[in-house]
Amino acid sequence: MLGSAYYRWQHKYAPYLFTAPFLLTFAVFALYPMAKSLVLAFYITSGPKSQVFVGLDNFAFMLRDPNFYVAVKNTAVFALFSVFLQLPLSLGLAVLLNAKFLKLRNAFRFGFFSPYLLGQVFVAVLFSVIFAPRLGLLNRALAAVALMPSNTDWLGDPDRVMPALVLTALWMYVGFNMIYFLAALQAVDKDLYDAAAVDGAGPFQRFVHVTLPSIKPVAVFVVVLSTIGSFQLFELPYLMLRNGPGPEQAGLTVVMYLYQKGFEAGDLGYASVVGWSLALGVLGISLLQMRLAGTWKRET
Amino acid sequence: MKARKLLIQIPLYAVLLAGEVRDWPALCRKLAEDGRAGRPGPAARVWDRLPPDAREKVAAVARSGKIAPEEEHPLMAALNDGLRVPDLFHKADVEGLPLAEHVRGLVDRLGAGIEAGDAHRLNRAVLELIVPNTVALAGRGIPFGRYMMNSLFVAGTSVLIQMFFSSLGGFALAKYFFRGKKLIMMVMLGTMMIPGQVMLAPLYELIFTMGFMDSFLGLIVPGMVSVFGMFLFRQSMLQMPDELLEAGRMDGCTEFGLYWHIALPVSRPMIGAFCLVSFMGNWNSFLWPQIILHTSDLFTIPIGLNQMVGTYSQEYGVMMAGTLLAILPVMILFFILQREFISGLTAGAVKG
Repeated sequence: MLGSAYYRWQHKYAPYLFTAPFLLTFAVFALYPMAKSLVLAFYITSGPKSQVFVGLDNFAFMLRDPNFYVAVKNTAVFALFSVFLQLPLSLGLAVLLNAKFLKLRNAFRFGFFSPYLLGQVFVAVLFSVIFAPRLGLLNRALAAVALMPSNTDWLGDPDRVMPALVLTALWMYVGFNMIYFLAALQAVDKDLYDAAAVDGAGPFQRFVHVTLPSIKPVAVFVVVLSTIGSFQLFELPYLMLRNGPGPEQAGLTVVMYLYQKGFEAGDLGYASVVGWSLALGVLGISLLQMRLAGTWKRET
Repeated sequence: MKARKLLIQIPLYAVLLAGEVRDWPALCRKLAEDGRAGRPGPAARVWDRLPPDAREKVAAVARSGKIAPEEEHPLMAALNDGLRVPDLFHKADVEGLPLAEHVRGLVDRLGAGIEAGDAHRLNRAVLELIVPNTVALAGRGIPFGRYMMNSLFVAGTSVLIQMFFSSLGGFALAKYFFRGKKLIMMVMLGTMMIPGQVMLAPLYELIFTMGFMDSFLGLIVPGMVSVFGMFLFRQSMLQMPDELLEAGRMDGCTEFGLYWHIALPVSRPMIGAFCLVSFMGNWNSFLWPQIILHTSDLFTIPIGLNQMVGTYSQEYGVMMAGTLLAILPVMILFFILQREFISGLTAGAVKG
């Protein structure tokens, strides 16, 4: 039997013991690396073994490197499309799926959501076939309706790489974001609609004055989540563009730039600098978004 | 694919044999010339070990100065088979050379003497660095089953470990008052806000130092606890009545017993949701395994598929077959757990 001293002891220390695995792994695999990356940022490294102190040179180099700006530009463009093209479409789909008369709602929901389950790697493989030069699905479809010659090399043309990436991400994530909007729409208080209808509001006015304000917290959450996700874009372009940035770096993203510098060229110090820039950028943008959302709230 | 990774993955072969050898013809020329002339060094050592038919192949490539893509794999296989011997590489050969760090790590681990198993590993690793595309593709027989088993093992183990530790932590955060709880919650929120890529470089360095490179440990250990999971389980366990736990205590149940016999069974829907989220994350993970794994025997599905795409990019049938196989487990799991999954996904967003 358990002794009473042990019983009291385990009662007292239980929460510490239960959170110990988290604290331990957090300290070793998050806190330490984070601190270490602050240190590494001041070194040029060639793999984990040789390091030379260079002060702020890494920062200076990054700010001078045109490729870094290409990566930032591409990532920002992608993020803008995610927020301003993909999310409105997600909301639209959610509104359609929320319609009272809709049959087979769950089937539609699963259908739209399922691409997300595939994961970026497999979606990238799928779409590299769709975008393939001669026999690709997209080219054949376009040729069938005679919109374009059928030999367009989507992923080999610098002007077409970003549209291809945006389309792929649209297919993959539109249903995922829809799930959030749909859940929010279903949680809107029905009485509000009735009250608005009594006041003579049409469907459009009800959407603007009842639906949008009600789902705002979720919308802000989805916008922030989607922006953070966009800034971490890596697998889609990396795999679709044959493990590289694509023609004229058209598919170079910040994380791919980090990967190239840190793990293909082996400079972990520089990769840390890029990593911190990414983190600060993402943090700043998320805070700005939440701030903007807050202001909007006070005005309405 | 040709030029990528050359900086970090300087083929050990190349370094050993010529310093600047970066393709098959140059490698074969070096092997044949040094071997025939009997110049002491790794190249001659390799040549001496090669069976006659492999020597013929090498000499042919050396003569013509080019190699057809479909001949790369047979040549690699021939070399690989011929070099399965214990004393092929001497550590002195690579002393002072600017090696890529994971190759250096492999060499360091070998120590002074090289055992048969290690030598084979090294040979494989080195050969694969020269021809990343043809890795382990025995003709058309891609070891997809192998990748599948690797992925199942890694994802399965990770899910179980994450589930246990995350639910345990979530239980403590939901049902106990203790010093530092607020701090822990704040730290957790902070980690979720900061993109993981910040830690990529130092984490890689850490894993390297720990000796977990090129092993499943390097994939599983850093992610043993999921912060997202702890939030999820805390959320669901908050709703569990305290009387339930008090009753358990009255009956002399230990605190861990309360977790195991009461809290965990009560949050069964969350377990389903978390299992799927966690399994998907692990199954689809690409960047970290791409950094950690170098031996094709250990490749997970995404890494293996990426290699395959490099080789069979014109053969859509092969690629689609691979993709279909690869997504099957997640799809099956989703059909089993879909209700729990959707509610788990939106729980934090809509209620919060």
